[in-house]
Amino acid sequence: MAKIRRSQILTKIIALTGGLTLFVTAITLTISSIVSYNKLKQSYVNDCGDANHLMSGFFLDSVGPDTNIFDTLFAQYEGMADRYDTLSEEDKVIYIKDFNRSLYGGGGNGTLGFSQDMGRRANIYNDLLTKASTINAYYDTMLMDISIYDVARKKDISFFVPTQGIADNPSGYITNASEEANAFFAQSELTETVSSNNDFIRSYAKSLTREVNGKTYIFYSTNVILLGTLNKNTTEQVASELLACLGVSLILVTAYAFLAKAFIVNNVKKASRSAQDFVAMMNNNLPLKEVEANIRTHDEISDLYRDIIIMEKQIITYVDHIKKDAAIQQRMEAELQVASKIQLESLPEGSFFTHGIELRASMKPAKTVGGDFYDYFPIDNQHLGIVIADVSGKGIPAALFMMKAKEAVKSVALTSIKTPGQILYEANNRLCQNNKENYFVTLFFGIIDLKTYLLRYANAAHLAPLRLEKGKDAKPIEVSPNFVLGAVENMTFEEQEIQLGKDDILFLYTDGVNESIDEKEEEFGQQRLIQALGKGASPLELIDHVTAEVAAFAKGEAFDDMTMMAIKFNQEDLHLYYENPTFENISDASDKVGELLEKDDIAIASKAGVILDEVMNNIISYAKTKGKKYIEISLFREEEGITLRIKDNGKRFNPLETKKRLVQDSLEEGLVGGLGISVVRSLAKKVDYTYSNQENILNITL
Amino acid sequence: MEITSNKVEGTLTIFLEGRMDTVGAQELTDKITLEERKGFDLVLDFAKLQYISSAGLRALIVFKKDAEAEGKTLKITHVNPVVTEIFQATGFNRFLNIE
Repeated sequence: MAKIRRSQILTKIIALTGGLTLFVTAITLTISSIVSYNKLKQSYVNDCGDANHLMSGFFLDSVGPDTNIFDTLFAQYEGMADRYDTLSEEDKVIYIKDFNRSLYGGGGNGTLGFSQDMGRRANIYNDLLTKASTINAYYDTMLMDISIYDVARKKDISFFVPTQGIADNPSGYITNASEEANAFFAQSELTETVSSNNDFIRSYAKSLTREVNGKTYIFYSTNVILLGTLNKNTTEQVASELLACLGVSLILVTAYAFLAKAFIVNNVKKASRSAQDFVAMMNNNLPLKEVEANIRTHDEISDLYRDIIIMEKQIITYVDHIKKDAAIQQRMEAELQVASKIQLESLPEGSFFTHGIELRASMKPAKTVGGDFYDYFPIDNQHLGIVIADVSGKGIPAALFMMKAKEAVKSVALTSIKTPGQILYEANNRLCQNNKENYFVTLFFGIIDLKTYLLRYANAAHLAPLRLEKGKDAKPIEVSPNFVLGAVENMTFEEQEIQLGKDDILFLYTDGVNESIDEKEEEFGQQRLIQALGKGASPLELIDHVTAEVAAFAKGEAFDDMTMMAIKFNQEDLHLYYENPTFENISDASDKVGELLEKDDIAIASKAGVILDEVMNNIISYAKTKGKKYIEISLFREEEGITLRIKDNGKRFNPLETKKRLVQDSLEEGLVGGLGISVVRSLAKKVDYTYSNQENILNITL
Repeated sequence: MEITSNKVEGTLTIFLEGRMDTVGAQELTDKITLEERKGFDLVLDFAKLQYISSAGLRALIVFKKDAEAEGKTLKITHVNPVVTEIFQATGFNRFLNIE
């Protein structure tokens, strides 16, 4: 359960946004300072107010009885005062150049100049200078506005005295004083109790009443008026302040971005990097380990990162489990393969030759292990037992039951019980015991008399074997179905027999063959099987051909186990057996073979002799045996030719695998069969080698 | 195998009757020793020879080499079809002088 705490990320975002707000504010302030230029001015106006006070104080102080500053001024005024009203507008303006000059003592250069006798007012003067220079930095011109009240005439006089700039043209105005002013200034005594905004006037009025040329004037006000525009310096200052603001703002934004990156983006990247690297490890099949990132904050991102790590760890565990499962599965697969091997090895070999019989068999399970089987075993010198069977079901259970069934039949058959029906009766009872799973098996069991080729048999619900008589199509032999083995005790199985002839082929099979289906769900069927068998061929060829036909028909997955056994009943025309063979035996064999074949074809007889010599020589000289060595020779005269079958019990050796040697190579004595096998090969139509039942078997057709 | 021979004017002619198989080849090499063959051109008459196996072919190689060592020749005459086939299949027809 995740803890709910105050969002750290949000806090950070808010804090950083606050910084951004500062930036915006700074910009705004800058803009507003430009916009509110007047406010800037105002501060200077305030400065001017102070200057004004000082200036006024200084001025009025300097207008004392000792000074004649206003002489010129009043001279001019007097000149026009009485006739002022009649003057034209132009003339109404009073020029007081001289006044200005006397006030500034040679000024006009922009600074206030004072005659030296003003030295006693030094402090005020210095303050004034300081203020004036500050003010002068921003303004082109200051004007002094002096107000004087003409007591006699009751007129208001205003003079504008520039401090610099337009110093040459000062001017002033005369107006009739207002009633209030008249009333105010009529008082000869101005008492302290006069309440007026003009405290200034009050304090100075008494002392500023002056007699000038016998006339009384009251100097009651001075103002400093600012004129002009902001000069260059001002502009530069504002511009530099704006730049400073921008600079600060840029720093703020950079800091903001940097902090955002550090606190948020970097950590997000680190967390996602961990995930990316982990995925890369999986994709490249590298050993998995969680990817740690250095995230030291404690917020939602670090939570996310921790969750990513947890997930990585879980994936590692999960992958481990899967691998273990895969390992287990592989082990099971391997064991199944071993089981399959054991099963196949428990069946006898796929080829068997005895007397005139050639037996070939094949078992192909649908799954790794199957429930079909074939079996054959000599019962005595003259009899061969053959079995083909099909357990219900597939896979391991069927395989296990199959082994039981095989053992049951064989072990019974090898006891004193000799007839097929009895054998199945006994075998059935054995199988019924300890068969709680109720498996059963269809089975065909036969006993071949190797001398007479009589086949006695009993069937337990299995498919009837097919018989191919020489040159004819395959036909099922007559079998009574009876019942399956392993189901019900004490079942009887009818015995039957059939006389097989020379060159007959007996074909036994399980229903995996004929019940194989194609994509249309049609069965291979007995007809196709009969067709595939044709007019017969060698047992091996028949099995291979049927296998190929069924595979082509079913196009892929085998649905059921497929088992086949093909037995050819050859006429053995000659049978020779040599124990501890010697070279003399070669002569004997050649004689006997020659005798038999000379009548037909002397060349064949000769070839047979050569072949016998080569093969027997090889066996005698080089075959290693445990126990007594023997060579067994059979000769079959058939339509395709003569077949010589030479068997020996030497160590497994396939002479056909030695390379063909010509005369140049064969000069070393030690080469086994090098030249010899070339001779055999070139003389024979067909040579094939099998190793079966611990015998090397060469079948040579001439 | 029946082996007869005669020596005429520096040529030793050997007549073989029967089979030049393992046994026969042994008999030949036992009977017609190197001593016997020394200094003679050899002629082997195969008229009555049924067939020859690799053991016999080896004996021929030995005979031929011995002869050549002395600068003598070896010739085989009157081969039957089976023997011819064998010689051809093994390349001996190029190695031996066959008439």
